[in-house]
Amino acid sequence: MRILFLLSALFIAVSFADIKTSLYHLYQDKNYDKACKEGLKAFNKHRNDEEFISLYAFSCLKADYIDRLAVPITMLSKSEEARSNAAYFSVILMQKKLLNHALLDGYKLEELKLPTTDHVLSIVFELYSKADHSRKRSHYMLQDPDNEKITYKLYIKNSNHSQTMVIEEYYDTIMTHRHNYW
Amino acid sequence: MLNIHDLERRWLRYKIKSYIPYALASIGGILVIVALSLFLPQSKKGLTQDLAVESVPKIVAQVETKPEAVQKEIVEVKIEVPENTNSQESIYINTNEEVNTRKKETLVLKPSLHFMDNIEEGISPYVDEDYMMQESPTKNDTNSDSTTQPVQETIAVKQEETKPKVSSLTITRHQEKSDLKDVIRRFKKNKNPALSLFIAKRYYADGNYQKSYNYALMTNEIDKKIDESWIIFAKSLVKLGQHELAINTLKSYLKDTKSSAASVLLRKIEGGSFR
Repeated sequence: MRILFLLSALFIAVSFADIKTSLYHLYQDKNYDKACKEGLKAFNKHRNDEEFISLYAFSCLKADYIDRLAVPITMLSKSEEARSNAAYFSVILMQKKLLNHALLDGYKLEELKLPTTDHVLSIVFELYSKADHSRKRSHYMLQDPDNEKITYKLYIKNSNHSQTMVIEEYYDTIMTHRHNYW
Repeated sequence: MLNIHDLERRWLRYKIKSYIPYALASIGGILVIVALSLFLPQSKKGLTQDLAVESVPKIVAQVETKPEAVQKEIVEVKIEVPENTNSQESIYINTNEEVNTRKKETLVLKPSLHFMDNIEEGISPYVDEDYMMQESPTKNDTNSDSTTQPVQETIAVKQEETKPKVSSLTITRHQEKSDLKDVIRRFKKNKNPALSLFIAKRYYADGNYQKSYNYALMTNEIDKKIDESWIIFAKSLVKLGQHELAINTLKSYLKDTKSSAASVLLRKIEGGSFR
């Protein structure tokens, strides 16, 4: 019985290490999309491991799956680092939701004063809240305050069943990255 | 005979007199409401104006030598009256500079990736491990050379007994070196950054940090976006005793990219856990 218990504990430890290691390697290889999907599959098994949850959350953040941060935000609470990351994720999630609300329903963001982050959503949020909203536009071209060569294009893409918020990053008129936020 | 006219007049007077208190009360009430509505906003303004008048001369007196600055100060004076307080002592005066600094001081949250260090510590470096496994027999060989003669004889006997194994080991060792030479030759021909990175890694694993630094540098010059190359470059610098240079290199690299591996290494170097 004791041996069985030890074996099962060993098996659990090995499986814990394996998924975290594979997730870590996927993250380091910048395969964020796969890391987020793999993490989601294994999430319930490792919901008490904050390192795993953090790794999963950062993978999803990099893969632009912002809504998936909601669960890690609520679960990252045990250590100081986890709480700090939870606050970081929650600001980004809130800014995404507010930006979406503003673009679709004309909600005014000028009055809001929120913390910011280094994430592209926060940068665009700050720039959008300072932009001129006297007339309605199909898209916004926002210039980076630190680098004049970098601009962001913000618009809503209407597909068959859903509306997607899109942020395109440009460097010298060349698009370098496109973020789709559902 | 009753004097009806007189009675009617007296009755009217009596009626008017009976209404007088109500009329006076209602007029008084209206006057009070009007007075309150007019007086309250003015009294607030009056209070702030009085305070402003009281506070401004002090500032003017302090900066009399600069008339332009005085004008600015007068315009920029802002008085905050906290709620539930009437005393003058608890009134704070903020200049516009303070307000501006408050506006500028937006809280910036940054991600914390220290947990990556813990994960990384649990993972063995696969490249080095493979190489070290291949390297270990050669180290044993060199050790055996340095031992005394009787021991050499016994080893020779053992080698004879296990001849096929020993020969295969020596072949792989020579193959390793020739492989590296071949890779260097190929790199010199086509300047492929993948090859130079491979060489840099090999030299680093071998402990030849000067050469690994050189090849990592060459890789960076060919392609600036290879993460691993920058990491080998910084690691080699640390091993060569150039901690500051390694830190500065990683910091400048992190300005352009958001490499988690580079930031982890930077923290390790700064924290002294990587030497």
